[in-house]
Amino acid sequence: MAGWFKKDGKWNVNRIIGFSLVVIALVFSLVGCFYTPYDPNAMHGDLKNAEPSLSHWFGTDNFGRDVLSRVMKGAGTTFLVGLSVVSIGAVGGCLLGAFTGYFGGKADLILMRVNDAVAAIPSILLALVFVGIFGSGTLQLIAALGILFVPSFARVVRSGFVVQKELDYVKNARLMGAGHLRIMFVHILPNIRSSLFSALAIGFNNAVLSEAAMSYLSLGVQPPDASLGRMLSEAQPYFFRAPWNALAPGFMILFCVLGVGLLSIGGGESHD
Amino acid sequence: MNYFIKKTIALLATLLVAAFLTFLAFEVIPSDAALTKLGMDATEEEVEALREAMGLNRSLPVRYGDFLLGAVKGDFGDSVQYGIPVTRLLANRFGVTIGLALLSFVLIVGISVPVGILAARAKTKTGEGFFAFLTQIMMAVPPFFLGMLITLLFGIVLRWFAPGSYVAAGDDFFGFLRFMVFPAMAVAIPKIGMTVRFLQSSLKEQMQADYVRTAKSKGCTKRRVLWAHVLRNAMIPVVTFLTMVMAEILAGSIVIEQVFNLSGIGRLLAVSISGRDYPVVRAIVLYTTAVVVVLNYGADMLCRFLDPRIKEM
Repeated sequence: MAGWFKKDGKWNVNRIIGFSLVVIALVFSLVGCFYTPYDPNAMHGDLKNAEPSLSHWFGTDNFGRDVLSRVMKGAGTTFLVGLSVVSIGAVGGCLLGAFTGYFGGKADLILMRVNDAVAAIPSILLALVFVGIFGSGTLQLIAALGILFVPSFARVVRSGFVVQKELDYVKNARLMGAGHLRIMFVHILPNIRSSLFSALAIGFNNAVLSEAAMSYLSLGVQPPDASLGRMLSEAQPYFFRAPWNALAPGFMILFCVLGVGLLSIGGGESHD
Repeated sequence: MNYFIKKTIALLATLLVAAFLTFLAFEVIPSDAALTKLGMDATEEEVEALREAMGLNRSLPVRYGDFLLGAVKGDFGDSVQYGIPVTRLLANRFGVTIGLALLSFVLIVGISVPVGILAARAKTKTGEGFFAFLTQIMMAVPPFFLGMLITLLFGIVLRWFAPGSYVAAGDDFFGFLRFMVFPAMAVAIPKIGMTVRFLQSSLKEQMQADYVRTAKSKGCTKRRVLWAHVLRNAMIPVVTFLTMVMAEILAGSIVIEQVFNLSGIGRLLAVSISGRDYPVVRAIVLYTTAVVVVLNYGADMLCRFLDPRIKEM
């Protein structure tokens, strides 16, 4: 295990920081699924915007709800949205990228053109349009972002397949009688895992940031459900009186995204 | 065929397709513009009459033609929420968004280029690790949270600007700059992280190219190699990258306008989507897409100018 944190005999500081941040964020959100210090939606009129104290570590919000409990619950929602979005994007992108990259031809040309066109437009704009058409809510948000994340995965997978399909091991497998599907998903896919993993990490981070932005604009997760973006938007009017309301969910997003990002680059080795 | 003509035809085709998709997207919405306007209490006959008057009963291609003609003339109908023509609603707000986008872009280029060069010259593992951490932390902050932090630090603690005190550029240009630099920072910082990282890897790739070795063996100084040879070659992918960033800036300003209470296009878009004000949404989406497409076209032209070898479509 220690070897994984070292590079050329030196400690890889970025990887250590990234790993710690991800573990902290995971523990927070996983524990939040089963146990929170208080009911995250219970309101206490006499405890509005209370400062952080021993009984309320991160203080309380404008409705007297415990911020720590809400951050734990909200982190769960945010990560769930992030994971669902990345799963939809990755599965769709793998299928699309594998078929177009492996078989090539006209379909490949057309799909990649469409891909480029979609990629040129900022995803948050498309997500906003999607929500404008189908209404706002957690499920709509997951569907919108999931579909919008397909092109980026398709591109990564396709470029991997284009290179791999010419290699000898594929010809070997073909000669031994393996079918196209078997070659694509049993032989080639595992060989492009490293580029797929970094696409997954970047995708997850983008999904978390997009969820936060959409919920911040009140077009994502709807109240009373807690999500980190939603909490930030609710905290903004009281930001100067009770900054802990916004700082707690904000830094939670920051730590999580930073942690995953640092793990995926591992510190300066991306250029080797 | 000439590269320029080819690209221009592609530009026009893309614009037409984008306009059609924008039109179609808001046709499939299960909502009736006439019913929305009259409210739920309207009788069947009233709704039918208004549908006829608004031209909602005509065939799809005819309405698309109308929409296209209106878009070219700058006529997108009336806003449902505000009751005034969409174009007039947008005209007041374009200035804010364009000012924010331009200022952010200046900040991104002005800061990313020197920092990117510095990062590319970092030789030690510690130096590389430091820049990797720095860029990662810039990319990890949600832009709207960054905006809130900036307001707290510079607006409340240091009192360098008064939150909410936007002045139009036409009235007081320096007052405008003094306020706008803070929202622009919130838009720019995540993009600076991306750009520095991209520039760094682009520069590093070029530094290993054969022509660098040749220049060095001719006796070129390190500085001359960097400024005269490497930078120009490394700039080509960066130009394409920066157009993408420009599109991202427009998207980023949607959220940042909300944080700093700026009445720009982005804020109007968010409000119009919650309020189901489709004529406004349609116009903003079409305009923004057009800007992005035209920017990409401009980038292609610029790249071709920087590197005449580019011939492919």
